[in-house]
Amino acid sequence: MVDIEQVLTEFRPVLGRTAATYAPPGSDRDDLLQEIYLALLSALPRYRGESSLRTYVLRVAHNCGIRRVARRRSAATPLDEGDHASPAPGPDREAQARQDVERLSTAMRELPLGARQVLVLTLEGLSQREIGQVLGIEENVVSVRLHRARSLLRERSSEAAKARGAGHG
Amino acid sequence: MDEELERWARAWQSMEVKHVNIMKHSQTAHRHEAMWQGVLAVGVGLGVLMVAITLSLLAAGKLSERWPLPIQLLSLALGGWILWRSRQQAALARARLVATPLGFVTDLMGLRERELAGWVDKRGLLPGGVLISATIAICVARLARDRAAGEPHPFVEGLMGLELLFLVAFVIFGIRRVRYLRRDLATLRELRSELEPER
Repeated sequence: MVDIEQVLTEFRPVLGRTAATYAPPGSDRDDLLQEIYLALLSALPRYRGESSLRTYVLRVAHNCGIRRVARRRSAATPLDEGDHASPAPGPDREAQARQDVERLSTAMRELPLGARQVLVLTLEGLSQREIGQVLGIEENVVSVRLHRARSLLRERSSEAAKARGAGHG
Repeated sequence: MDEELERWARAWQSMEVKHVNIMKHSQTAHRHEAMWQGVLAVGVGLGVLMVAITLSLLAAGKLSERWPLPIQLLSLALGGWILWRSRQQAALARARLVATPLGFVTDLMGLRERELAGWVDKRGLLPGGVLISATIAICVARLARDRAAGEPHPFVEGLMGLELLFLVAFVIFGIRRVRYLRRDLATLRELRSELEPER
C-alpha cells in the first residue's frame, strides 16, 4: 500500500512539468494538474506493483493530458489561450530563463502527441525501456519517435527564433 | 543522452512548478465529487418516484388497487439499476486511466462508439418514440376526459407537465450529445493516428 500523500509530494515537480506538456500556463494548467492529482487519488490505492511507481504515475498523468487534448480539440479550440503568453517579468536573467523554458514547453505542445510524450519522458530522464513501458510501445519505436521529435523541435525553435528576430527588427 | 538533449533536459527540469496546495484542492474536489454523486442519487430517486406516483395514480384510478405497488417497486428497481450502472462506469473510467495511452484512446473510442450507437440506433429509437408518444397521448386523453367530466386531477396534470418538460430537455440533450460524440470520435481517431506506432 503506497502513501498517497508522500507519492504526490515526491512527484509534484514531474507532474507539474507533465501538465505543462499539455496545457499553457495559467488556470488551464492548474486545472489539468488538479485533474491529474484527482486521477491519482483514485488510481494509487489500486497500485499493485506490476510496474515501477514512476511508470504508473506517469501513465496516469499522460492519460489525463490526452483526455484534455481530446476535449480541447473536440471543442474546436484552435489554439490554447495564453499559449504564447510571456511569463511574468522579473530580474533579467531569471526572466530570460523562464522565457526559454516556456518557449520549450510551447514548442513541445505543438508536437504530435506520440513524439511529444517520448520527448518529455526522455527529458525527465527515463530510459528507452521505461518509456516503452509507460507508453506501451517497442524500444525501436521510442527511438524513431525521439528522432522525429528532436528534428521537429529544432525546426520549430528556429522558426520561432526567426519570427522573434523579425518582430524585433 | 547527447549534449543537445542534456541542454533541453536541464532547461526542462528547471521549470518552476507553481507552489499551490494542490493536495488540499484535490481533496476538496474529491469531496465535492462525492457530494455530487449523492445529489445525483437523490435526483434519480426523485425522478423515478415521480414517474411511479404518476403511473400509480393513473393506474389506481382506472385499473385496480393492486397496480401501484408493483409499479413503484419496478421504478425503484430501475433507479437502483441506473445507479449501479453509473458506479460501474466510474470504476471502469478509473481502470482506463492506467492503460497505455494508445489503449486509453482506443478504449475511449469504443466507449464513445457504443454510446453513439445507443443514441442513434433506429431499432431502439423508433419503438421507444412510438411507445412514449402513445403513453403520453393516452395519459393526456384520459386527463382531458376526466377534466371534461368535472373530475380534474391537478396534481397528476402538474406531474405530467413536468415529465413532458423533462422529455423535451432529454431530446435536446440527446441531439447535443450526438453532435458532441461525433466530434469527439473524430478527435480521438486523430489522436490515435498520432499515437499509433510508425510503420
